[in-house]
Amino acid sequence: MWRRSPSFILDERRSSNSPPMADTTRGPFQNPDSISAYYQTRAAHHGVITSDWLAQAQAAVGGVTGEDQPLSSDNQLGTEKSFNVIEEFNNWRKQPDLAEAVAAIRALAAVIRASEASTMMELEIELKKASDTLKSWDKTSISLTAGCDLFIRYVTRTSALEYEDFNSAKSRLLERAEKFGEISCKARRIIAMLSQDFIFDGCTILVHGLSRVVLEILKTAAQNNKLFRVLCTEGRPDGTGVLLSSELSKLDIPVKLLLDSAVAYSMDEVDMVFFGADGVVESGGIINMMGTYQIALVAHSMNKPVYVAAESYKFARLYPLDQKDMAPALRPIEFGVKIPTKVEVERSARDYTPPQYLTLLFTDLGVLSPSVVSDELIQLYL
Amino acid sequence: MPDVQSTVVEFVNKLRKRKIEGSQATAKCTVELLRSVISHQRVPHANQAAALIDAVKAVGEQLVAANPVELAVGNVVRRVLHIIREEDLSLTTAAMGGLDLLDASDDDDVDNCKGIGYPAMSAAVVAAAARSTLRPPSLQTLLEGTPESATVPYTSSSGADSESKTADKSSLTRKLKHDVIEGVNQLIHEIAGCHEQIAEQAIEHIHQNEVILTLGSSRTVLEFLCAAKEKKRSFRVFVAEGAPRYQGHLLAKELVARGLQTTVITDSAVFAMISRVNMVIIGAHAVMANGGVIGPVGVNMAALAAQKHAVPFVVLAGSHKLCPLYPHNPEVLLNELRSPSELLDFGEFSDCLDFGAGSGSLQVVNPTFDYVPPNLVSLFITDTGGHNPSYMYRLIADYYSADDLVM
Amino acid sequence: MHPAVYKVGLQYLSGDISGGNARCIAMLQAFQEVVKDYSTPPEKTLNRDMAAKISSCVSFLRECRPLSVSMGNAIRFVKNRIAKLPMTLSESEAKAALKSDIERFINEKIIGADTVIVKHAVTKIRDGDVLLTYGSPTAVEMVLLHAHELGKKFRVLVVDSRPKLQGQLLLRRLIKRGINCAYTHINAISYIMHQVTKVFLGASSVFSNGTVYSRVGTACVAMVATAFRVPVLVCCEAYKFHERVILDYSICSSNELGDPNAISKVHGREDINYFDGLTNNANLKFLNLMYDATPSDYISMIITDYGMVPPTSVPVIVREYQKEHLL
Repeated sequence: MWRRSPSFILDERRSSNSPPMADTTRGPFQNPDSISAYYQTRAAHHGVITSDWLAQAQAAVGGVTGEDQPLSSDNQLGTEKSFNVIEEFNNWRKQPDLAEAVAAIRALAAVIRASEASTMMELEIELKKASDTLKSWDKTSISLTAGCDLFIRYVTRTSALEYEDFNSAKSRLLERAEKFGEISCKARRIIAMLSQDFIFDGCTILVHGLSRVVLEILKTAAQNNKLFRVLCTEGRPDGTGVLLSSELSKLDIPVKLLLDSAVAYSMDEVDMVFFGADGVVESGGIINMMGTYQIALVAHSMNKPVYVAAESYKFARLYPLDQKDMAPALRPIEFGVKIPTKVEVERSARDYTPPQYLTLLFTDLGVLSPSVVSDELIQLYL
Repeated sequence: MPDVQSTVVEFVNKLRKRKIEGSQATAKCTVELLRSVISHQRVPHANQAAALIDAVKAVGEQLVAANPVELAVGNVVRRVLHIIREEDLSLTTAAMGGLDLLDASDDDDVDNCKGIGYPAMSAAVVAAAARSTLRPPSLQTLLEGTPESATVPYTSSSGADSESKTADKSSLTRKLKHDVIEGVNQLIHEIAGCHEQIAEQAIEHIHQNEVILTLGSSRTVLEFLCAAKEKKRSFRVFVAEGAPRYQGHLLAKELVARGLQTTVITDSAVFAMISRVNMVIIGAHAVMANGGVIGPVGVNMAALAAQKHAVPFVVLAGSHKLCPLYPHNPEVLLNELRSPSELLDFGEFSDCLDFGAGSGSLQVVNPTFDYVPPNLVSLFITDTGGHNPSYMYRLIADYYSADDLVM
Repeated sequence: MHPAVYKVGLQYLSGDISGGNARCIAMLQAFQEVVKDYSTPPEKTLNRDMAAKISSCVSFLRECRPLSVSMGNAIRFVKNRIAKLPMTLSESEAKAALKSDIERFINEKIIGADTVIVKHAVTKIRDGDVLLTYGSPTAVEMVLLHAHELGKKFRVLVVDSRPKLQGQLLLRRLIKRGINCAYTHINAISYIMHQVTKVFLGASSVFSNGTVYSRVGTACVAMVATAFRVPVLVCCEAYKFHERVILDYSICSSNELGDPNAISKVHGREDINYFDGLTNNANLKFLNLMYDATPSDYISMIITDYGMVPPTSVPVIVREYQKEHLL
């Protein structure tokens, strides 16, 4: 699929009618637009609503209903639920303060509530189906997948624990699912507390992307009267850095905005780099907003510590070998000038950073070295 | 009680004045002191474990504050706390098991079990929840409930089941204390025996006609090298002299006394000699949770040189040196500056240091320790075997309770 | 043997003259004396006999202390000039020409080179810098003093090592001139490297593959500095460059060995006496290396009288230098 040699380029010219990529991964429940749903959520939360984006979002919403309706007539019982799941998920993820994994678990909880199953076994199968639907609807979102997997795993274990009756088990599942939003918020606070030791007075922190956890960390540090300076990358094309810097300046934290390309130039005055993460993968590496990898490379070559702040429910059983070894999350990119149609544009929204470029992970499970991630995942899914 | 208090004060003073040196000696003194604290601690009827934990913690805080750089003190205090928690847990589960049996005998009385406060949950679930408090939080338990709620059955456990069985309790109390002291004795034994455990592995790592570089004076390294020598391996040891404390001289003297071929080199020749060396072996002062090492000053230089020439850099550490903390800014925070007089004779320099006459200022830096980041370490050899730096977090999780990490 | 050569040799032996430049200048000045008092014996030609005479002086000096690379280069220069003396010159003319050649070498290639180096190096010192230096390199000392005279505000960290402790002498001179200093030993280098902004080192010689041959410990300092991403600047006069290449950084074949007793006894610390009565033990040895070689990837820049060059340009300078000298 990735053309590396000239012969492939020629091949591509011959079959230039077909749009590149994304199509191959399109399933029946695939989000019909080539812009990943994952990216839309992010964009919506960041509040970067360009007119272009709005139009596409509308198209996307239309597309979902349009494509799902005929299917539901096909298979009455099964898809009634699956339709619910996506709808439910979409409702939840519109709330800006809710992480995607939380929305996924809430959506699955709704499935439990609506379920007419009478045994644990049935419920489990139903949930599995719903989660598969949800996962295949947006393959690009890692925390969605991780959230679903985590919950299903919990359900399986709970059923193995043999509660006396089905209803009390069900209510316990529901209660835990409802609590998950709280767990997520609490995780963020724990991470912020843990990271305080690492922020020393007079340090300079480089931040890439707009991560709720990182923002919480910096907020807590400011509340603890730490004296530090933040360098924000601009985060083209979403301008996440611009948003983050305005948030930080509200808190009176000295902040400087950098072009994404100015990272290497500024690295020598940086004491540490903070990233959030969309997902933490089996190897201990992270998948995060485009540009993370190159910043990590620069930091590594200059011996600067790279810290990742991520809630543990973002740990996912994925193991990308390289950048192309994962479903690309595509996004629109505006260059401000007209791009000739022959020019290809890289539209992927994120990249993979291997673990050797990360120093430590701050998670709600504690401060971890990247090798611990696999340990936790093996314990969970064994 | 008063005599315990006075020994605590005495030990704190010793720590503060740096009278005790070497992590093994410190660890041994600490654990012996804690044992006497535990055995003299009067335990109330309810919540004996909590009382012991509080007592140990109170003493532990004093000791750590007396010498925050000697991480072995904190490590040992955490180990003892972990022993108390574990013994308490095993007693609780044993008691719970008895309760379970009781329930099984009269089946109709299920409501009784619920009344105690475990709605529709078997004893196994409670025990599992309690055990999770000993472990650091994990992904597995993320959805199962917040740690606070999990600790509730644990802390109230002794109180809850004692309600029905007052007669049993006094024996239980004595049992806990007895078990804890037993556990602490085992820890003492372990600390005393860690050299032999580590030295046993020497034969696997040192081969015929090899050249070994070491620096600093570590008993563990000495025993390790001698163990290989006893197994009829002949090899040469390069010892960096370790200015300004010259601990390398001390080590070299002991090695020569045991009949090892020893060459003393200056510290500055470490890079020049490293290409002639097959392995660098050092003793750690402390091992951090990320696999980083605090060692005698100059170690980082040797580690960098070893990396440049792809020479294995092996760190020997007894389990009391494993510290559950992640270092931040370790070069500065976990270091100790010694007297400048070890480097410069002030008498000789007093003439040019006459202030106000336009002379510059002089600062003399004499740190004790050095930090080696985990990526420079090839192998850790502990009393439980050889480990990669990336695996140290796991050993630490086995030795300490999550609740005690921050004291 | 000429008394001047004899005197210099004894000074080498006692350590009264040390440092590459000082040793080289002392040797060349002794040669000037030799030339001045020289008269061609009957039935011999000046060129041949003078060369033999110089050779015997050199072998005497080598007995006193192994010659440094820079001295080797200077000797090669002198011999070259002798061989190139036109046969037409009278003895006194030849002697005068030779003396002025040696004089020119000292002034241009050593003293003059240092002023050029200082001029270049000072441009790299900024206000607020923390400069680290190791041992007591003369070129670096001149750079530091000149920068201080220019009113630049900086601090100097002097790193020292046993057994020579030459850093203490440098420290004393810098403090007297009013420069703010810090002093430490080589083991503590990882601890202080955080604060350092530039490392200035001296060199005994620079080899053609960019390897810097210098006081033992220099490689350690450069290595740690590179690990902390601190730039390493080496100040070295071009006459010390050599076309040899070296890969073995311990240079066991040609390294100079110091007095082993200097290691076993610690000057001024009577409490360190672990080796009393052990010095004859067959199992115990002391190794006192004098030099080590720093790989070129630890060097950011070499400052010479030809300007500031990367270590990869050393062979270029060696080539140009030889061209200039064989004329």
